[in-house]
Amino acid sequence: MSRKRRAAPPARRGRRALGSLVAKLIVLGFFLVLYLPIAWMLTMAFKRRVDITAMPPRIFFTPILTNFEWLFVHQDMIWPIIRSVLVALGSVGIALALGSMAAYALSRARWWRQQDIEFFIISTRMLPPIALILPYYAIWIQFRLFDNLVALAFVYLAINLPLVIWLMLGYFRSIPVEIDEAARVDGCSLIGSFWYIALPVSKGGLTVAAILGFIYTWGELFFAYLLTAVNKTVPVALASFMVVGLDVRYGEMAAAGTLAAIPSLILTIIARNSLVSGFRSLAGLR
Amino acid sequence: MTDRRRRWSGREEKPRLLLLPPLLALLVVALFPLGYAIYIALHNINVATPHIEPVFVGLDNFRRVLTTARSVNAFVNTFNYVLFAIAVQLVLGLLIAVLIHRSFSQRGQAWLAVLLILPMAIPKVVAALVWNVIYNPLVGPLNYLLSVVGLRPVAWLQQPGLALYSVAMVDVWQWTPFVVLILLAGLEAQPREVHEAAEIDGATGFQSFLFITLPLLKPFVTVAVLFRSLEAMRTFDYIYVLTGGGPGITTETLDLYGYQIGVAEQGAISIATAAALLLLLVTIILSTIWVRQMKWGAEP
Repeated sequence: MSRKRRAAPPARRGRRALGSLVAKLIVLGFFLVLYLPIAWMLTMAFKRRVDITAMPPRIFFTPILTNFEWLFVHQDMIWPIIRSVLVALGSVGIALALGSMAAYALSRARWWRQQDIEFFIISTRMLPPIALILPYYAIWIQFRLFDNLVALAFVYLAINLPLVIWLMLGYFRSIPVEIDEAARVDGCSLIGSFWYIALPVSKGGLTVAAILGFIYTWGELFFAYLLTAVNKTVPVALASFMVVGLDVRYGEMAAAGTLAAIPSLILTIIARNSLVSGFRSLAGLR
Repeated sequence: MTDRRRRWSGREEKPRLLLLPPLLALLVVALFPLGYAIYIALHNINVATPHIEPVFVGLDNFRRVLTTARSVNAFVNTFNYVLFAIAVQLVLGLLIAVLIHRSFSQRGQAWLAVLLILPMAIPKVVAALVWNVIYNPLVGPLNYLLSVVGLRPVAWLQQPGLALYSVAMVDVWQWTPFVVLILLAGLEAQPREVHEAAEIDGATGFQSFLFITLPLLKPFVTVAVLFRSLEAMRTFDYIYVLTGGGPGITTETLDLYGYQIGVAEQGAISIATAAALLLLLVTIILSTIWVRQMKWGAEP
């Protein structure tokens, strides 16, 4: 298709500017739809019931804190929060320790069937939770581990460990082997060079892995819902809002949702740059 | 091969102590339950009657899953949910990614990327609770918007033919940003020269998009679609909170079906596990395609 070469005439330039404006408006609309539900929840958390059910929706209202108060006074919301934090910290902590060990070993030596080992690790991340949860449910009932938080953290290891190994493998591979070798020449043991060189250098990777693991575990409903009864975690406590009955406490529910969303949002903002580049490597770019 | 370059030079010492414990842990937490799942699926076990000795039934549970109307319904629902959610996410994601790429500066794009990540961080339960209010026929803002335009209220989550897609729209809301981010990365990687050459040759913007941008974007589309469908196939949170599988069983996907039949209603854990393993099979096939696409292990 070879035609005459042409520079953009003024009319076309004008059309381009218009096109760019339309494009920006569409993108703006997309982000509005993306953020309006979140804004809706945030405002609902501070609204009285009459303000929530008012039609048309009230944009201006007198904010109240009774929704949050109700959560802690009547619902003991503090306990699900403590449980969720403990389960997440325990599971992510162990995953970080074991995962970085495996990732370092995989990045620093060539193993028998290395690619198969790596593929096995990644593939466990792709297991549908339902295929894991039913056997766990059967085993946990049999061994009276049902409703046990340590057992729940153990189950989350199945998700968090491959995640950490995968992330840290990328980080360790990006550290030049020469750095370790220099340490080895200076008399550092293999484990020593892992502990004193590789780990400190990849603090950023460890942080991202910890944050992603925490966000996942903090918000996970399916496993927690099936494996706990009294020891509800935050997502289970949230879901139980729906089963209370017809009279849903919208304000209180929004307050609980806000509480549950805030830690994840803050952590995401902290790790934003690594996460964006994480998406790039997910897309196969380096 | 990069492996050779990164190997310890000279020394053939392998940190077995570092690799074995994590691998063992992974075997215990992930592979052992999977093995047990196969055992459960091949036997006739009911958690409601633990005193009855499990009987080996071969593939009978799989046969029952594939011939029972309710489990077939669950497969069909899962399939419809995934197909609808992913199709909408892909079209919308492609549109937004292209628009962002064309009309925002590098700095602007960096900001938008952060804004795209945030909604994904919100726990799915929370997203479902929010949308439950938005869809609410009485206090929900969505029907209010309809009434402003003069339309009649819609029972988003109560109407049998509609509920599944209403739930899928929550998936669309929370995960379209994922597709946008992947495709944005793909657009950035495209060589500028090709597009310039096309423009010099007189290609219109649309032609250049259709014949250059899209084909170059194909591997990124594959990644986005496979990741998203693997995730969407295991939707529990949205459906459990928004409809609980109802009305009737019209929104009962496989995860919910497995939960209902294996745990909540009948304790028929063998049949539920057989259904889960069939889902796993689909997952394996999809991941294999993904691995092929990504040429796992072969670095450029």
